[in-house]
Amino acid sequence: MFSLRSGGSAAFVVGLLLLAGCSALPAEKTAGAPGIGVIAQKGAIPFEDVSISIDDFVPDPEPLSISVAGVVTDMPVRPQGLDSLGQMALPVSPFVAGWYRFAAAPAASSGATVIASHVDAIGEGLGPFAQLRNLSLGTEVFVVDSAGVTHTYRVTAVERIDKEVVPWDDYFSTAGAPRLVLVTCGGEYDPVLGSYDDNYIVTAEKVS
Amino acid sequence: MRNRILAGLGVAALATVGVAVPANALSSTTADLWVVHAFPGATVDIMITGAAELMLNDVAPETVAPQVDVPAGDYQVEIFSSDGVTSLLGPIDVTLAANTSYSAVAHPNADGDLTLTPFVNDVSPIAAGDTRVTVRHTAEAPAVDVLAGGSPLFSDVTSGLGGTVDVPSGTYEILVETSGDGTDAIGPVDLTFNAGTAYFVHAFGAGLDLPYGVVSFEITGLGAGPDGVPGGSAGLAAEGTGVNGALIGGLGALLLGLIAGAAVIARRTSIVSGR
Repeated sequence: MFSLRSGGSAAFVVGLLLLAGCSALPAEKTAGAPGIGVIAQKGAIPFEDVSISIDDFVPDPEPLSISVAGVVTDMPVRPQGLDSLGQMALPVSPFVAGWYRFAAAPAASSGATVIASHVDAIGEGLGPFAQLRNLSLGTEVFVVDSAGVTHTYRVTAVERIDKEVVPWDDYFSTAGAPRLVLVTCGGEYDPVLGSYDDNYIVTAEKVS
Repeated sequence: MRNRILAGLGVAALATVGVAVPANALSSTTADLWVVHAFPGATVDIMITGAAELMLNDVAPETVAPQVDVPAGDYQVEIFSSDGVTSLLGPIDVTLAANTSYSAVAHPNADGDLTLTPFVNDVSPIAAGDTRVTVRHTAEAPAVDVLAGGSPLFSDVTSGLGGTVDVPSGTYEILVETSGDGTDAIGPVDLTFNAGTAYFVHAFGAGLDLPYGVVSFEITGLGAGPDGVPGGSAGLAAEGTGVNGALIGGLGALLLGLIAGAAVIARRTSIVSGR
């Protein structure tokens, strides 16, 4: 009944895009090209087509489980959105992690995959994410998605930040290099509010 | 001929491609520019001159050049046949304002002639969980309606115009049909739009060559994050400062113990009463 052409053919585009106006070298005008200023040389740099095709408008596979070398094994992960307060919704149990479906998926070519979990819960005790604060830089983290692919990350930062000042837009950004962001709680506990003052945030670069 | 025009200039050009493209690189002195080739059939050279000079060689139809960050100011855009000699269009004067993202789209007008339309890209922040869809009518075709899940998203869009809407992220059945007679022009097709990403979709096609295609690009990283991440309720992981932290942690553990004990008692009670 219908079909859509794909948006591009990147592999076959052989042009180039050059910005000669910022060149440090002096430019020459060329006779025979009236009205045309400095242009460029042909053939030096391949032109990159950045169009996306219809095939790109499909959901990325969801993460199903997370393992952290030495401390967490196959912890289940469930997709989550926002709660009624505008915070990231989380599974009630500290033994189940949530994946924020409004940021990146592990297979995405850019952006943060965010997985968070309660550090503990009354009646259940401490969850696996209580170990995050002790992670060494370089620790490997593995996320398995619904396509059966294991994505491997390496810890590059472990931070403890006051909940009031965490720049959430940055940690949840879909731009930039593919990476994994793990979030849980820590710091002082307020027994009146039943919550912690700080967030522990682990950032891990994507290895494969 | 083009070789004489373009080669031998002795220009060491600064490459602006092949690197990760940021969500945008706007500033108070620069504009962002995307170049979209939506004119069927013709591979072209696109030359942009002004405060900066750009040359796009051998640009095939249905492609998008990576965003470049250029000084704000006046530019001229001229499109040549890919032999670099024959001017197909222009030069056309284009003014790029600072702090603004543009798409320069080469496409057929309603009569099938090559034209170039500059569009402003909405790169303002997107609310958490939402996506942004921009649809531009750049095919040689009469006015169209765009429907999402059977409901009108945009109505009576004429060639050279477009629209932008923020909607909850997710998968929508998209259908583009000719206004009035309802002829399917694109789709219906299920498309998934991710949160925090702005999608720019340009109709691609000419005349009666139905169905039309699309040439699209995306700008990621525009979405707001959540307002926070809750993280625990028992106080077992409390650390904090000195005596207070330890004391509060201890109280939390004590509280937990009491509640856990109460839960066990309650469970036993229910078992008993269940019998």
